[in-house]
Amino acid sequence: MRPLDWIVLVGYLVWIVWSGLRASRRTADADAYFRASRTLPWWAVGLSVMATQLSAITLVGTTGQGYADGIRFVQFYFGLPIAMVILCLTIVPFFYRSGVYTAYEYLERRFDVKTRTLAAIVFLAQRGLSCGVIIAAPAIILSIVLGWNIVATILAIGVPTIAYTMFGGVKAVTWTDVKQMAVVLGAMTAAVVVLILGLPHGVGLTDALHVAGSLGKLRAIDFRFDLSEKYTIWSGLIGGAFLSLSYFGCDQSQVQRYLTAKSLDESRQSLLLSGFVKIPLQALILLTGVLTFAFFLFNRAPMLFNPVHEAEVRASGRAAEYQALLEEYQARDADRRVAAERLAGAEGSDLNPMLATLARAAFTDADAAVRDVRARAVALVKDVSHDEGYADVNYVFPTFILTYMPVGLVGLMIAAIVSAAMSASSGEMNALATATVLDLYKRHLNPRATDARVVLVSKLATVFWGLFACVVSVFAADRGSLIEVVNTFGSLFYGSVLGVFILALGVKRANGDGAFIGMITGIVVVFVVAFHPATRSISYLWYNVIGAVVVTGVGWAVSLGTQRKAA
Amino acid sequence: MRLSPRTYALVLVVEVLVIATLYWIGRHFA
Repeated sequence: MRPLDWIVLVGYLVWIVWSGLRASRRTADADAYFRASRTLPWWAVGLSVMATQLSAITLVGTTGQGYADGIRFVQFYFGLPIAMVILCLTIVPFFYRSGVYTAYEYLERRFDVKTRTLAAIVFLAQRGLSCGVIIAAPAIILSIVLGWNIVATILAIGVPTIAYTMFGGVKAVTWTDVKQMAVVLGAMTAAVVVLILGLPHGVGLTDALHVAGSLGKLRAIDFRFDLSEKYTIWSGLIGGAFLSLSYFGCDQSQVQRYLTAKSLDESRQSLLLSGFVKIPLQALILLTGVLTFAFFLFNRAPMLFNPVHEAEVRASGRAAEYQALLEEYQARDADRRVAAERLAGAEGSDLNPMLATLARAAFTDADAAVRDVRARAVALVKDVSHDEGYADVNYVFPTFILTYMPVGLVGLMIAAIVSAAMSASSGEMNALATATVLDLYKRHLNPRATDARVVLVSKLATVFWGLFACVVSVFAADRGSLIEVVNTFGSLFYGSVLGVFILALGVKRANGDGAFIGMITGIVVVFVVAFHPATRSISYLWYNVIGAVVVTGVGWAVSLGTQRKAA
Repeated sequence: MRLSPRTYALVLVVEVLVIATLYWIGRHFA
């Protein structure tokens, strides 16, 4: 990073903290602190909903996924618009009209206090950990590619976020989310422009897409019905819909956003904004990853994008082997570049279809040869470093940024990555503090707490959860595989929490005992499915369906049983 | 602005169009 990049990055941090603190005026009472006194416009709430979901992992991981695997990950989001429509018609009016502050407060009104407390504790456990990962993932990447100290990087992201979230509550979180979303979108647009301009003379955008498409990277839809396949149109539409129903309908970090809107219809509009925009936005981020792949076909790419163990391998007894692989890679990469240029030329002209077929076959072979060398290099790094979790997909986009983006824009891109991490974690910290204070502290420890006291304790809870996230980050940074564990950890609970809300809204006879026992059974069943050897291969998107169905079924049966007993 | 059933239908219609476009992109650039 050059001085201008530092100026952009530091300028961004100062601007975001200053505007967050400015938004913190007039948030002295609990309603203003937790719900912004229901004064926010739908578009700001809608952008905040999207910003909370769009973390740095999305920005860097999704482009990496586009690079390695094409755009088929977009199917993950196919259920989202369906879920938004269902939520707008069912759960959102219930929440808004009942005047609750947290999603779990509604569960006490409908069932009992034990169901509310269990749901809140599940949320705190799962989101407290994931908040740490939201900060850790970009911090690890930035510290490796920029050579920064990992703890300092985590604190540089965490501390400003804690500051404005603590002072400003939900209002500061929402307005900074809007600004951070603008930074992310601006930076991504700049990256796409640099990617397109970086294609060689004579190779246009459509040529580059044809070349990437010849390897299947633009095939978005998979119609096979295969439970073990992670992303298909069916897992996306059905599993994804259940996931979105649970995430947007029952997760405090999302519910709190749309409870701040001026009216019920504005709450709904803020969710429908995601329904309209989310799939195209994710498709564009994935396409940026595919474009990065096309870019690196025509420009020199490193053999491995994650340099963390390179020095270790070079100093080991297998340094000569590594050097030989590097030389082989450079030769294969050059061969592939020639094949890609030939294919781009052949795709551009309709003169000779036979020529295009031959060029395509040659390019496919050349790409397979490059992938083969890379796979051997990864195996060697794993062998020498004993780091089984080593992967470099998440480093592709940052490598492009640092190597090929012009000065100034590098700072903007790093600011965008930091921005995504801050906007996602601020929403989580705010929601964690709200659930801690309203569902646990005020409900169980101090029901007579005054408004001022509740706001004060919320500020302390924000600091607690922020520091907890930073500690989890430092801990997770040492163990790369932990990040994946925490990421899938959330999906073990989503379906069961959704099941409780389905019982609340859809099953008239459901009671507190049914909901409580149903929820525990659902969580246990999903854990068994996730870890039992016979069912382990089932894709995690289906856990949401399984959890919701089990909770609804068991909850309904137990409710009937306990009612008969009582009668 | 009051939301009508048409707005919800529009969300789903846009989704179908987006999925169809993605399908077309996959076939066109194959």
